[in-house]
Amino acid sequence: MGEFFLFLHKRMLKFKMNYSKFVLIAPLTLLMACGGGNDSAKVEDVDVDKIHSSTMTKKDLDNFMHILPSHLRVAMMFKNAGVNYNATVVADVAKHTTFEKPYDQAYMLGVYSVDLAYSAINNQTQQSVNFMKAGKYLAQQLGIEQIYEANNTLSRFEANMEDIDSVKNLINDLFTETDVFLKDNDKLDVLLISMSAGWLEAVYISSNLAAQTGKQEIISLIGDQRLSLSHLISMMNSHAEHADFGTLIADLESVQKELEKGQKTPDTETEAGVYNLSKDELQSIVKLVESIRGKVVAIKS
Amino acid sequence: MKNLNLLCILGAFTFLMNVSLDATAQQCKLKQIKKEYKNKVEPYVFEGVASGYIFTGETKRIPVTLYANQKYRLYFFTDGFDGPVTINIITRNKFLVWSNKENMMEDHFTFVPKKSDDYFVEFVTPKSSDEDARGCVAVILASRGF
Repeated sequence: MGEFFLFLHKRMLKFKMNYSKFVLIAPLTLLMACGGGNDSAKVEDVDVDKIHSSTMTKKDLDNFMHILPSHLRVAMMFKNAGVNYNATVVADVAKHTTFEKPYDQAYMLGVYSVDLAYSAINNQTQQSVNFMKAGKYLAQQLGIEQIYEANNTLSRFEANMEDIDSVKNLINDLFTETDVFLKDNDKLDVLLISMSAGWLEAVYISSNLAAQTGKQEIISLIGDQRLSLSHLISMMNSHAEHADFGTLIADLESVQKELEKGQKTPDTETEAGVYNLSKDELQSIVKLVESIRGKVVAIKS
Repeated sequence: MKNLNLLCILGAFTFLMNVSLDATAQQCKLKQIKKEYKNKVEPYVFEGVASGYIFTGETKRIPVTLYANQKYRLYFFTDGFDGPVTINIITRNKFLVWSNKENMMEDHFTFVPKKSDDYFVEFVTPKSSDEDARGCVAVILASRGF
């Protein structure tokens, strides 16, 4: 008996019990457990190791320990840098029901998420509702509609679409809810495909407008997107066994290579170096991202 | 009857340990952390979270991509360790931006980066007598709105 208590004590030290809950739950549990003199009552031992699986590897522990910038954050920064609304650069939302393969659905979920943020902060209210509905449709196809349904996101969005602050909060909440849900539920493929597609969409929109306006602020922000790109590539390489990742990784790396050409002087510890893209370098990026995007995104008719 | 009462007490102990261990596992879930911090970060706006288990005695870095001239507040969450956890924020070249060493109770740090970059939240956890023991660490990112 003493050995058994010693065993329990060691296990408790191992996992640092929540003693306050122990104190609260104990009396009730004792009442439930010891409700009479029934000699046939059985007690099941719990294998503690099954609760915290020892099969969790170092790789699993490292997964997703990173915070990527939200689509709304990126969209707002580009807007403040002078990226105005251009209806020709967003995806054709009317074709959202034509995507049947899970890869394409996850991809377009990312594309529409960025287009939603871009449209909403530029007061394109009806268009942003359309993107939200398209995103919800794709989430349903992928079996992850809880992201939209948990907080009644779409109905709240429609009810508040004239209030830009409420719209921003809802979009931000949708992004964080999506991120949290997909990670908690091991939807790694959907997460990485949609995040990568969203990243490409942001660079597609911003590089198009940088090419049109020549604004240095926009070009600098494009350069900043390399930060999240390197993490996306790294995370995808960690899951390279996924059938659809190979091409996407290669595509992202090709864009990375083009973006690196803009680093004219190196960063110091406290200040960014000079980042600039010539007209030709910018056009190369526009064409490259356009061709990658065109593999999935439906061309507007 | 006496043996039955002893068995009941042992059963209750085992049940309670199961409940509490499961509670620890749940606390490291992103959903749970987001729920706890979404209002806690006000007047800042919740922007993201990263969490995971690490072995006691280990040092772990969680990267966070931050943009220049945006006001951020980073919150830190730890659970399951036998002592205080040292938290440092460092740059990719290991330049120290901030540390909680002067006040181990500090659970957040506010700053405006001068440069867009990856910043690393480093958790230095105390050792445990059980080398297989694990705890949870998390970083919660909040910003001063959009």
